[in-house]
Amino acid sequence: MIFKAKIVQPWLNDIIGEVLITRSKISFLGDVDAKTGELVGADLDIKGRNLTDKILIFPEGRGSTVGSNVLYGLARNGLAPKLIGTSKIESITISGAIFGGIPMVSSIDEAVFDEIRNGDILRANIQGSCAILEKLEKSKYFKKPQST
Amino acid sequence: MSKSLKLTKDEEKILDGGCGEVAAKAMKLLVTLGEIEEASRLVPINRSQVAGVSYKTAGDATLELVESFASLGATARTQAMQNPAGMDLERWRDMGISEAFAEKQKRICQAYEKIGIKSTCTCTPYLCGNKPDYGEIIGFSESSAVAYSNSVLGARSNRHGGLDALAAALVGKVPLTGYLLDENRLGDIEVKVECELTSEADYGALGYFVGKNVSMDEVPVYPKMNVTHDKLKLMGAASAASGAVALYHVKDTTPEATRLRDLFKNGKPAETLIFDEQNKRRVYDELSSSNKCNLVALGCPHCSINEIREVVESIAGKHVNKKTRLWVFTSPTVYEEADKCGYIKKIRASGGDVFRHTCMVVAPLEEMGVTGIATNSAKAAFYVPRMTKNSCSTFLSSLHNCVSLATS
Repeated sequence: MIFKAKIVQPWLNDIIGEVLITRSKISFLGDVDAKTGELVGADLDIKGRNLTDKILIFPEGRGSTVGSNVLYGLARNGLAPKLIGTSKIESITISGAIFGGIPMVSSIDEAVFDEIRNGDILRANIQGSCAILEKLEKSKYFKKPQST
Repeated sequence: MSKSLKLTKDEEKILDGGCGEVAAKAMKLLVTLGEIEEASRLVPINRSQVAGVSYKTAGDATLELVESFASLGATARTQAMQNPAGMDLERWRDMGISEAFAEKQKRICQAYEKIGIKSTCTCTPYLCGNKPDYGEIIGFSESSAVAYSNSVLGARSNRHGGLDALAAALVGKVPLTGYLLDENRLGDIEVKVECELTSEADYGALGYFVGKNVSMDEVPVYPKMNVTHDKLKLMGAASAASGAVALYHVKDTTPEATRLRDLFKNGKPAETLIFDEQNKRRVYDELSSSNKCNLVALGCPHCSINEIREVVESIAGKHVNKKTRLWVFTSPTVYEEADKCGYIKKIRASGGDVFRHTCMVVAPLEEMGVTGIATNSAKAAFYVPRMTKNSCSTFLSSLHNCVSLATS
């Protein structure tokens, strides 16, 4: 299962990570605890989860324009997502990702919101001028403990 | 990525570092944004509003970034102003702000000041000498100022983040895209109001509802309403908090709505949103957790002179009780006017206070002992629980009711 997206901030090696996905709009100011990376917005379906090192996918931002500074701060403090994917192109998230050096894609295939769930594993790589996100089988990603 | 973005020779020179390292970094961000957004070129701006000023929201990362820009000699090329800080820059001790916070806050403001972005520290630059003209292209961050400038003034700004607004101020340009273009400024969603709107808080509730239900590239069109600019200020701020509304029209009221023959893309709304009594109730329930408050906070966005006058009228003959603080937040410019009108003295004589440069959303309420606020701002009621990890409750009501809570 693959999803195409537009490259916003490119990356070198394939990114493999656990997905944190929501259909809610997110404001990095207020909805995210800048000190921990935890989602705290009361009306978010991913409230209580943490975005650090995740492949974070959401449709579009909302609220404060300081969101770009908060996202930049998350990156500076080692709390950033591994990759950000959005439906809409929005400068608040994009400028935070660019200054923070966080890989990012936008205009992601809408099917991702139907097909991908929290905890799924995606691999993101760049093919030509396009980003490709591919769903991996968890069993292939998590190596089984060797039986003795 | 589109390569349709054409740069002038001067712009190429900035990008290549001919005007310094910081300008090059700023230009790189604008070019990347322009390419992603498929802009054909950059266009000049003369005004900027830069968010990311409060130490509480911007933190050490932005502080260090702006200080490094300042040390490299960066200079803004526009009339640029800072968004609110986390405290009154002079009377912070009276707000209960710690020395440690104040020290960091002063450093942020000084660093911005050093690169030519003034410490006006308000979210209402349009009331403080940085008011754009009709049709003027500007580079604003501060979601409420973007909504007000686009909708109430008919200026043209995209919803810039604090960082891209900073970059745009340093270069003096923005990508020609989004709400700068005629075709994107027409309406998409028709809003029908099927309940009574009485207080200014009701208009905030309406804006909050609309923001939640429209997408960032959809333009809502409100019915003809008998509203003041102050009410639109609260309404627009709310819809830019619950959602990302950068531009709205009010039929027969806002400047573009009165000029356009056809208000909607394709001649008709793509969707109709109905705001009825039940929806209104839901917004108030969502934004009010308790009416037990120890701070009545008015001025999100910063109060206009008329809003301060309303506080004075509402508080006349009353006194703020011992358990509650009543604080009004405004810009230094409006503060001066209010002082000349005798309003500041009257509010203080009644036991209230007026602070500049900051507000209840970006001040560190947790370290100030604030456990519950009452406010007439849906925007503030949305952010305060989020900004305090739910340690501070909220109560959304009219200015008059809020003042009554503090004085009963």
